[in-house]
Amino acid sequence: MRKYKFFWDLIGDVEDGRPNLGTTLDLETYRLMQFTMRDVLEERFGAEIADDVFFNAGKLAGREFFKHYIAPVNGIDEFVSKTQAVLKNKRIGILRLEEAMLDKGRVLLTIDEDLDCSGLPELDYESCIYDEGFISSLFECFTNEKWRAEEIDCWCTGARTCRFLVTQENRSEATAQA
Amino acid sequence: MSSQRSDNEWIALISTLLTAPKIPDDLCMDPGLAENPNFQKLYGYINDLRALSAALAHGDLQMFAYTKGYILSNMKALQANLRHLTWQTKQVAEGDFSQRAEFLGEFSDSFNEMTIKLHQNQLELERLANVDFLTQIPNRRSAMQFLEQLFLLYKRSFRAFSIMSIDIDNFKNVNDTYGHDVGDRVLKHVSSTLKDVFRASDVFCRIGGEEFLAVLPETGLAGAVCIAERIRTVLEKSELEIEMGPPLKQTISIGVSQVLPGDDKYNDVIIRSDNALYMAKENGRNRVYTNPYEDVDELLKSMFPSDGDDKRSRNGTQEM
Repeated sequence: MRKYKFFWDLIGDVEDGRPNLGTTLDLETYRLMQFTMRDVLEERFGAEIADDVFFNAGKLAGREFFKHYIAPVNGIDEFVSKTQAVLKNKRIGILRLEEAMLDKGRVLLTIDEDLDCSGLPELDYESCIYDEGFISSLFECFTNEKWRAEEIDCWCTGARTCRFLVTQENRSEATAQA
Repeated sequence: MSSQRSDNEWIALISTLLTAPKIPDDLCMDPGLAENPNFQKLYGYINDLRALSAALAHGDLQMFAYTKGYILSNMKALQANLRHLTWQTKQVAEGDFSQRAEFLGEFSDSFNEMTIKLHQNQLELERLANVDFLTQIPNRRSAMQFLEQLFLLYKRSFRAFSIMSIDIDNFKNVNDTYGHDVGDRVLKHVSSTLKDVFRASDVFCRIGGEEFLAVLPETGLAGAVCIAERIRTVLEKSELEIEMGPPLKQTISIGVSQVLPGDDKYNDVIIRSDNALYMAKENGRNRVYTNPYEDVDELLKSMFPSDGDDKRSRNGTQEM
C-alpha cells in the first residue's frame, strides 16, 4: 500500500491556500529543500541511489508536467514552442534548441537560467540529474519512445548554460552521433 | 611548475600560447613541459580555447570542447546561442514566424525585425495571391482551393453545397461603347454590389473577364436559386453613374448547380453550372437557370406556389 503516490491534485489549490503570500516562492527555498534532501538521500543510500531517485523523480515530474501543461501537441514545432513558453512562464528556465533531429534520435538543447543550477559554485560534476529525468520524460511523452537526456555542460562545471544531449534509447550511439 | 623556468619565462610562454598565431611544434617536446601535469592541463585548456575561438571565428558551430572553465564556457554559451539561432532561422525558413531571438543584443533585434517583416510580406503575398487585383474580391485560385476543401468534406459527410456561374450581360458593349475604364468600373460596381448580398459563409470570386463564381456551402439547389434571384434583382435595380451618359443599368445571367452524389470532382459541379449559365444566356439573359438534370421547375413551383410559373424568364431586361 503506497502512502505517497503522486497525483496532480496533491499540489493543491495554491491560489486559494495562499491569498496573501501568492503562488511563488524564493528560489533559495526551493534549492534548500532539494539539496538537503539529496544530502540525506546520499548519506542513507549512497550517491548512486540518490542520483537514481532524483532522475526518476524528474521523470515522474516530466510526465505529469507534459500531461498537465504541454499536451496535446501536433508536431515538433508546437511541442518546442509550447514547452519553451511554459518553462519561461513558470520561470523554470529558458529552453533553446540547437538541433532537433528526431528522425535520427538526437536532440541537443540548452536551458539558460536553469532553476536547479544557475549560479551554483563549480563542483566538478554535472548536477542537473532531476532535469535529465524531466527532459527525458518530456520527449518520451511527446514521441511515445524511450529517450534519455544527459547533461553535457552545467553551471556546476563552469558552463554558463546547461546543455543536454537527448538521445533515443533504442538507437545505436553511432546513429545518434551522426 | 618547472623550476627550470623563471616566472618571467612562464609568463612569456603562457603569453605565446594565448597570442601566437601558431604554437611552435616543439613546445610539448620540451621535457620540462611534457612531464609537468599542471602545464599539460593548462596547455589542453588553452588548446581548446584556441580551437573553439578559431572555429567560431570561421562560423564552424560543430566543434565541441569538453574542457571546463570560465572563458571556454562563455564561448560555448555563445556557440549554443548561435546554434539555436541557426535552428530558429531554419524554422523561419519553414514558415514558423513565431521565432524570436532574445540573447544576442542588437543582432536579436534585427533578427526579430526581419522575421516580423518576412511574416508581413508572406501574409501580403498570400493575400495578393488570393485576391483579384481590380475588384479586391477573391480570385479563381482562392475559390478553387475553397471548393477543393468543400468537396472533400462533401465526400466524407455529404454536406451539400451549390455553385453559381455568373456572367455580366453584354459586357463587351460597355467596353466598346465607353472604353475599358468604364468597363473596369462596371466590374467593380457589380462585384461590390453582389458581395454585400452573399452570406458571410459564401465565397464570391472573379474568375476572369466579366465572369464570376460563387460557392455556397451548406446550401441545396432551392436555397441557391433563391439567393441567385436575390442578387440578380439587386443588381438589376442598381445604377452606375458615368460622366459620358445616363446611369448604366447592368444585368447578369446566372447558372446554378448543386453537388450530386455521382460527382467525382468539384469540376463536375462547375461544368453543370456553366451549362446552366449558357442556357440562361441563350434564353434571353438576365435570368437564373439550373442544369436540366436538376429539376428546377419542381423547385420553383415549390418556391413560388401562388404564381406557379417560371419567374426566371419573366424578368425584364435593361441591358446594354
